Amino acid sequence: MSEQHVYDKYFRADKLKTMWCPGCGNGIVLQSLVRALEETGTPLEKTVVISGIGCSSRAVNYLNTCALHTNHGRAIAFATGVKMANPDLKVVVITGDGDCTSIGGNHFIHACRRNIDITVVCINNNNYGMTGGQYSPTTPTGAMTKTTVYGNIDTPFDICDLAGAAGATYVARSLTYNPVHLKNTLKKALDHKGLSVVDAMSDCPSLFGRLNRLGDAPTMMKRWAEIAVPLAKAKTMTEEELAGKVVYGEFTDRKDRPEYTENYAALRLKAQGGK
Amino acid sequence: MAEYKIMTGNEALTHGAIAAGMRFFAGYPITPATEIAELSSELLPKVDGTYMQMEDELAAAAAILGASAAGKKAMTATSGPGFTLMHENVGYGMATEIPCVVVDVMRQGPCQGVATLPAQGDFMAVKWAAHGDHPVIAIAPSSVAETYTEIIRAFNLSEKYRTPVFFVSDATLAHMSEKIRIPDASELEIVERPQPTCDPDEYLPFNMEDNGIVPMANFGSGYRWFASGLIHDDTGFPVKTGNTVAIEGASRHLLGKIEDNIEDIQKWEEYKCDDAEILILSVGLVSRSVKTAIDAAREEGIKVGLFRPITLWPFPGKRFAELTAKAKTVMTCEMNLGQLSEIAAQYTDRDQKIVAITQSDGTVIQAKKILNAIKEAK
Amino acid sequence: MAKNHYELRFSGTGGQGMMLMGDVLAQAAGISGGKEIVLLKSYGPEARGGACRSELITDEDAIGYPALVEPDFVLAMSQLACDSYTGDMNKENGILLVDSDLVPNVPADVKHVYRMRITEIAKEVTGRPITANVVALGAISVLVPGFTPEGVKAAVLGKLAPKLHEMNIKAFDAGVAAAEALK
Repeated sequence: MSEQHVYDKYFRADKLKTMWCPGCGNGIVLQSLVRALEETGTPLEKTVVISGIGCSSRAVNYLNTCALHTNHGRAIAFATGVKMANPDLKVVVITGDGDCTSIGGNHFIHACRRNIDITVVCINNNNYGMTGGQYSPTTPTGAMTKTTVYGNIDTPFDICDLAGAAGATYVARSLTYNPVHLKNTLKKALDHKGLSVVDAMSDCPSLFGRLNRLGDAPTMMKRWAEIAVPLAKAKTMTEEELAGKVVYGEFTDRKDRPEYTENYAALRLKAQGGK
Repeated sequence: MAEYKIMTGNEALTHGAIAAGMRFFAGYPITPATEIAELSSELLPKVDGTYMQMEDELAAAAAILGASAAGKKAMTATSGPGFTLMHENVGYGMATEIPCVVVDVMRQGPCQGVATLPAQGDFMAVKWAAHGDHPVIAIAPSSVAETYTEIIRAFNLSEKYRTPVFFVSDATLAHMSEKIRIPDASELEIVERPQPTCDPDEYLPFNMEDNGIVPMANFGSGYRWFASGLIHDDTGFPVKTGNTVAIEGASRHLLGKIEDNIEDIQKWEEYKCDDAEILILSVGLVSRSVKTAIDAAREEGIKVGLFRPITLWPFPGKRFAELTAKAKTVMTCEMNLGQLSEIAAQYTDRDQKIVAITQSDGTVIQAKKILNAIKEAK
Repeated sequence: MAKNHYELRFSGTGGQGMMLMGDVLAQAAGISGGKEIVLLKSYGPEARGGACRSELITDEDAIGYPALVEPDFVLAMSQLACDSYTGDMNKENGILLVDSDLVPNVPADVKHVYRMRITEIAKEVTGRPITANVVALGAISVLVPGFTPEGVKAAVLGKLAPKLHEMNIKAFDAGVAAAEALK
C-alpha cells in the first residue's frame, strides 16, 4: 500500500500513458482536476465525467469514474440528461474550444441559461488539434492555422464573456502555466452550485505553436509569463497595454440565480399539489 | 381496473409510455409530435419524472441517452426534420447500447414537407437512421389502441436488448381519436432494467462475444463504467486500430444481438392470408384502408389478404416470403413512392408481379383506390 | 334504421364549439354506446377562425379507412362551412342540419335538410349564444339514428363543469324540442 499514491484511485492505470503529444497542456488540466476532486472530497462513485470529441475530450478515458465519451459538441447535452435524471451525481464536462463553442456552442449557451449544476472544463488551445490544427472559434485574429494559411480573419469568442452573458453563475479563466491557480479555480467550480465554466488556457506545441512559430513546449509555456495578466491587475491597465494579453481570474461568481435541478424539484412539488 | 377512454394517438402514446415506466422525456416542439411533449410536461412531474425542452433535437436525443445511463427510462418524440437531426446521437445510443425510445410521427416530406399532413416516407430513414452498420428495431402501430400497447413493447424491447427503439406513427394517427381500453397496471408486462450483481471491480459493461447483453449499471450505483462512440471492447474502451478481429467482432455484435432474438422482436398481423392469391404488404394506419378494400374484394370473390408488419424493422421477411410463395400477385400499399415495394421485391420470385399502390399527397389512401387496384391486378 | 357505419361532420366557425360536439358524440357513441369510433378534428390555423370542423365515424365493427368518405350527417353553423363541407355528403339519404339564420343558402341536391334557428334558440333559453352547440347536440340526439337524448345529454354533462349544467340542460332540452317539432 505504501506504493499507492493518493491520486491513483482516480486513474485507470491500464489506460496510461496518455495519447497526448509531448508538451500538450491537457495532462496538466487533467491532473489539476483530479487534485481538485480530491480536495473537494467528491466521491468517485457519484462522479460522472462527460466529454465530446477532440484531444481534450480524451481525458475521460483516463479517469476512473463513470464516463461517457460522446459525440462532437454534444457533451453538455448528454450531461444535462444525466444531471436531470439524477441530481445527486456530480457531473463534469471536459471539452475543448472547438467542441464547446463551435459545434457545441448552442448546448453551451443554453446550459448557461438554465444554470444547471454542471462543471464545464474547457481546455482552450486555440485550435483543432485532433484533426491537425485548423482554426477554432478562439483562434486569435491573424493567427496561422491549417485552414487560415493567409492569417485568421475571424474575431474570436471570449469564452468567459460568452458564458457570463448567457447566464452561467461561476465563470473563471485559468492556465496550465499556473497549475495551483488552475486547481484552486477548478475546486471553486466544483463546489459551486449552478453552471460553472473554467476556461483553461493551454498550449498545443505540435500544431498551433509550430504553425505560429511560438517555439517548443517550454518556450510556449514561458510565454504565458509575459501575456497572462491577473484580473485585478488588468483593471489598472489601459486597452493598449492589454493588447495581446490574456486576462485570467474569476469573472462571475453569482448566487442570485436559482439552480435548474432545484427549480425542477420545486416544479414537481407544484405538479403534485404541493404535497 | 381496466377502463375505456377516447383519446388521440399522441395522447395514447404518452400514457402508454408512462405506463411502460418512462420517467424522462426530452424534446423540441415540432408538428405533428408536439402534443406528446405537451402531455409529458404535464404528467411526468406528477410521477417524479422529468420533462426537458432542449435547445434542439440534437440535444434532445443526447439528453435522453444521458438520462438513460443515469437510470431512467427515456423517450423523445419528433417528426421528419427533427428526426434527421437525431440520427447522430441515436447512433451513439446504438454503439454504446444505451436503451431509449425515439418516436417519429411521420409527416409529408422531404425537408419541411407539409407539417400537418400524414405520410409514410420515413420507413427507410428509420432503417438507416445513423451511418455505419447498426441494429434497428422499429415498431409501427395502425390504431390508437395499438399505439398504447406497442409503445409499451417498444420500451420493453429497448430495455431487453439495450438499444434505441424507433416508433413510427403518422400525423393522422397522432391526431385522430379512438376508443381504447386502458388495461389495469397488473395486466401489463413491463420489462425493468436489470442491474449487475457482480463485484463492481469485475464489472464489464459490454460483452462482444456470443452477442451478449450485459445489465447496464445505473450511473451512481457504485459500478463505474465507461462508454465511447468509438468501436470498443468489453471494457467500453476503444480497440486498437490494428485489431481487425475486435473491430469486426464489435460491429457484428450489434447486429447479432438483434438477429439472435429476432423471434421475440418481430411481430405482424395476417388478415385473410390463408387462401390469398393476392397478398398486400402494408404498414401502419393505411393498412386499415387495405382491410376495408379486402372485405369488399372478397365479396366479389377475389382472394386477397393483408400482411402487416407491426415490427417494421427487422422486417418479418421469413413469414412474408412463405406467404408470397403461395400468392400469384404481391401488392404493397403505402403513403410514399414505393419504399415497401423495394422490400417486397426481396421476398418474391423474380417473375412474380409486384404492384405498388403509392400515394404522396398528404392524405390516407382510400379503400376505393385500393379496391380498384386489386381488381386490376387480379 | 341505424346502419352499421355512420359518418358525421360538425362544421362552423372557430369559437362555435364544433370540437366539443365531436368529443361529446364520440363519448356517447363510443363509451356509453359501446361502438367503435374515429374522431377527427381540424388543426392549426383552420381551428382558429374561418371554417372549422370535427368529424366522427361510428361503427359496430372495427373501422377501416379512418376518414369520411360520404358523410351521412352534416351540421353547418355558418354559410362558409355549408359551402365548404357539404359537397361530399350523401345527398340521397344523408341529413343536413343548418342554423337557418346563419346559413340562408343550402345546396339544392341534398334531400333531407333541417333548418333550425339554433343560435336564436340558445339566446332565448340561456341568453348565451355560446350554448348553440348544445342546442344542436339536443337536435342531433333526436334527428340522427343511433343516438338518444338521454345518452347524448349524459355525455354533454360529463364534459362540462357542474356549475354549467343547469344552463346547458336548458339548451339541450330546447334543441330536443325543436327537433321533435321539425320531424
